[in-house]
Amino acid sequence: KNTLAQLKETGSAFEVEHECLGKCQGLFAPQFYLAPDDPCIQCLECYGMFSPQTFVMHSHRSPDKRTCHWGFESAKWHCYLHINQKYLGTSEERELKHLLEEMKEKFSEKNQKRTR
Amino acid sequence: VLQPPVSTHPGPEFWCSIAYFEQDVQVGEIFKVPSSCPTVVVDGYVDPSGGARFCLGQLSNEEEKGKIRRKGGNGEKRGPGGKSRAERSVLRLWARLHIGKGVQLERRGEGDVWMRCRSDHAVFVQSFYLDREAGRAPGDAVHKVYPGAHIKVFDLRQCHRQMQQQAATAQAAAAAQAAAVAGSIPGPGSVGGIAPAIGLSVAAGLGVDDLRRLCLVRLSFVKGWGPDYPRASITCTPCWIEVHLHRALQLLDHVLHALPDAHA
Ligand code: NI
Ligand code: NI
Ligand SMILES: [Zn+2]
Repeated sequence: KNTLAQLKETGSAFEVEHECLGKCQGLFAPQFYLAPDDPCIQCLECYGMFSPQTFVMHSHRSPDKRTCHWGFESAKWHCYLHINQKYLGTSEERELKHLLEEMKEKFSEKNQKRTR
Repeated sequence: VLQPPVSTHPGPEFWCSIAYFEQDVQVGEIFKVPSSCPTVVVDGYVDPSGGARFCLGQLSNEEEKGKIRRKGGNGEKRGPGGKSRAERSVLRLWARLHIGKGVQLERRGEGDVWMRCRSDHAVFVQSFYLDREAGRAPGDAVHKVYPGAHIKVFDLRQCHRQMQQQAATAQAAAAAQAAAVAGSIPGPGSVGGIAPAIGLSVAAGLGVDDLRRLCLVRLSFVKGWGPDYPRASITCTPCWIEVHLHRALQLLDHVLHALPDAHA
């Protein structure tokens, strides 16, 4: 908990969120994202660490009663992960969106081919 | 698999028409999609640059011009929850930001409809076809469709069967009621001095709204409704569309006309 809180203070980590199978917010630490399955997102509610793909399956909301889910695939986590709503309209929005896009592309097929 | 058409009647000039709502207020004009364009995109941008594209972002000034209609009500100036024009403008801005690339709707064959979620936020769909696919009672479920998903949301054949069944049920009920009123069957309808001239078409007409509901698909951008969300119905969501499927409505017209006494 403390490690990530410190990372946030130094400005390197930023808050993200998803709305899959229940909403969840977390802290994304780019420094920890060195391999696709690395736990680099800390849940803001339980402080557990998750890789991007497992984070979009993580939530603390009670299961849906009336909602049916179509087309959810955790491998498509890059489609579901956004910067925290609170950044929208602030001076940080552009920079953080760009940073998250970079994280999404870091281990994508496209990028793999380019670096080889 | 090639199936014979449900009907040999010539198809409609427009395969669907789309109405845009912000909560229970209809905003802008109805957008009609010609049958020559099997796909249409509904997005949050402002500039419809060619093709069948319904840009919800461009509708933001319609209300200021006074072109506003409240769904099923009168045109008062304050919206649901007493929202002012300024507050509704904020909602629209929010909508533009989040609808993004929106959805693509595609007509396949005679009148089936597929949907692709192009937005980076999910869309929430009301569809009798998906209710059935999910094993739920009609109208019971809210269907969350994730970004990147491509799914079927409407089946013409299933809709046609459903409307035939419902029309037959309504007709049987009307016949029983007419018989009861006429006195041949003692029943609750025979007391209270109800005129015996209730036509079958009138009684069947009571179900027409239900039948028309079979011929449309509704979808809300970004926000869901129902018991899992703070909004009770789709008419409480900030931006949603209603898609009327004209081939299905054509079939419904024929089903209703085929009922005995319908033209009386
Ligand atoms: Ni967004
Ligand atoms: Ni006729
Ligand atoms: Zn958690």
